[in-house]
Amino acid sequence: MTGRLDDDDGTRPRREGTELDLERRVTAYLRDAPARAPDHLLGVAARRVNETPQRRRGLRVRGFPVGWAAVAAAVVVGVAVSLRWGGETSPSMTAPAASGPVAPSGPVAASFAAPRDPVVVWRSDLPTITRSLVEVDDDLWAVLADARVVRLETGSGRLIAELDARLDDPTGVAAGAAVVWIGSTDGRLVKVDAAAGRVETAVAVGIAHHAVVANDEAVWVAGLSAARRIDARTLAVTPLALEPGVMELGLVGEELWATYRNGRVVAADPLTGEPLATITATSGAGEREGGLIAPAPGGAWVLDARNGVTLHRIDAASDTVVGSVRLGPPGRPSALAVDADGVWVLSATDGLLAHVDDDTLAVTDAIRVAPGARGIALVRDGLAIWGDGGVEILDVDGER
Amino acid sequence: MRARGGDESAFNQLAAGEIDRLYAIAYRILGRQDAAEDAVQDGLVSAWRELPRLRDPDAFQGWLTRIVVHLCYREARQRRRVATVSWAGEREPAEGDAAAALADRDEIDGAFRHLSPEHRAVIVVTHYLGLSGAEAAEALGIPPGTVKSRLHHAMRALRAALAADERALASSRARS
Repeated sequence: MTGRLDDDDGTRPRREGTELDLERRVTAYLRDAPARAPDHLLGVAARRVNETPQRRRGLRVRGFPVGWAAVAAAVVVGVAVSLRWGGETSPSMTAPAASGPVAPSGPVAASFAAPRDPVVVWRSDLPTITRSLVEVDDDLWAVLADARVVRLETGSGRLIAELDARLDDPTGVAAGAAVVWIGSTDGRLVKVDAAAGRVETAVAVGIAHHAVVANDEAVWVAGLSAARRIDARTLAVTPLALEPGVMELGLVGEELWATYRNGRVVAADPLTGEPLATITATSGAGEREGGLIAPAPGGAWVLDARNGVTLHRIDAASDTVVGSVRLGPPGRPSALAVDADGVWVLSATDGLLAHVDDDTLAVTDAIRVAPGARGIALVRDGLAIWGDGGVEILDVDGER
Repeated sequence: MRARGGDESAFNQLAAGEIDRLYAIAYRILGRQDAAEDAVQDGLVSAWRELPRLRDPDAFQGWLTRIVVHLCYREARQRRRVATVSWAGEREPAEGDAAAALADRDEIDGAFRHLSPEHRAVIVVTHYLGLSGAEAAEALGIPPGTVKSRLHHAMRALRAALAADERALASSRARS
């Protein structure tokens, strides 16, 4: 703690540097700034509101919500422009429009100019494969394949601490309130106290699990055989009524969403796992591993579990697919990360990151990444990408 | 809520009641009039567009604040390579207590600008709006536990920035 903020040479008055004093100074500073909006602002905003259509719930034309029909047309035009301009397109992430549509118009095909090189903010080399990563209270926690958990400093990537989670096979990781939860295929869920920087306890959840999500109140885990809810405070384990075969879990609004191999997405009660709605998010007929899910404003992005290459945008208000974009073949998305404008998609086999815009479904950015990437997440410093060599933070805002 | 049913004039009335508060928040997070105006405009348009998805009308104010705060983050990222200007603009020379107050304000201003947008936002909703932990969590779209720890980190970063500025000032004085 800073004891005093006075000058070393004593030419300025001494001030107390206590917490209270700093809070008082900050409050005074904040009160000094303008408190009224400029007169023109309301008029300008009102004009823009009057020119903007409201998104409708459930109003559909031939299976597409009204707004998305226009969007789909606009994206098709965008693809044509992109190709005519003749920018070098990626052979792996660009493909003609797909057959077997989800919506009557079918998923649009992604297209973009040549991928650019990444802008690396910082890199932290780690001794073995990074399985997963999460941001808790402004620090990053990476789970390594050998069950070590490393804490990295935001802003620099400096290794702050290293713990042993004492798990045979760590899988997913999730953030709670100042807590890191680490799942495993050995049936235990480890709770790490992020504030104290120590392993607090291991909970026997009774099932091997690969999917882990959490909020302040609870943790949900799922394996292929069953799913469980664990109370974050009491650590009580409750079986969930979800059908077996869950691929991935996501917390969407106040619901627990689960994806399945057959392309179904089930919205369930988070306390019981009882299904509330079932959404079909597939344009394929086979079954592949997939079903990635990334909660997004008003719903979620889900990777088609059957064809493994089409990304679907699901609207939680209507429980419907409101847009789809096909990202391959031959590439195969392996991780998703939602930002304010859309979703970042990692195709590790292609060594590519692509950004899909939430409104237009156009690919607005593409970045080359090294082979061996396993996961991505938006964190305070930028886009975190991890895998064989450690953790890197990419600056993804500057170029788009 | 009539605005949810597509009534633009009803929404504009709601916006009129919120715009000063939203602008004050955005200005304090972004420190620039043009950026704050953009964030508030975009926030109101986004809120209008997404309003049918708001399930609880009573949550409107917190929901709208959260939209604007997140648009402030976006504005801050987009504009971080643009030089910043002081929000006070040109000022008359001051003397005595007024000069000391201005010097103090400038000191805090310089340190505040070193903070990340997320740190600025948590300080603004806590020390300017006076929101409780739960209300701040709603406004920022983060868990209540994270509000507490983020505020702690933000104040620590502010102290560090103030100390760094002090050291730089002392060093420049020593050189001159």
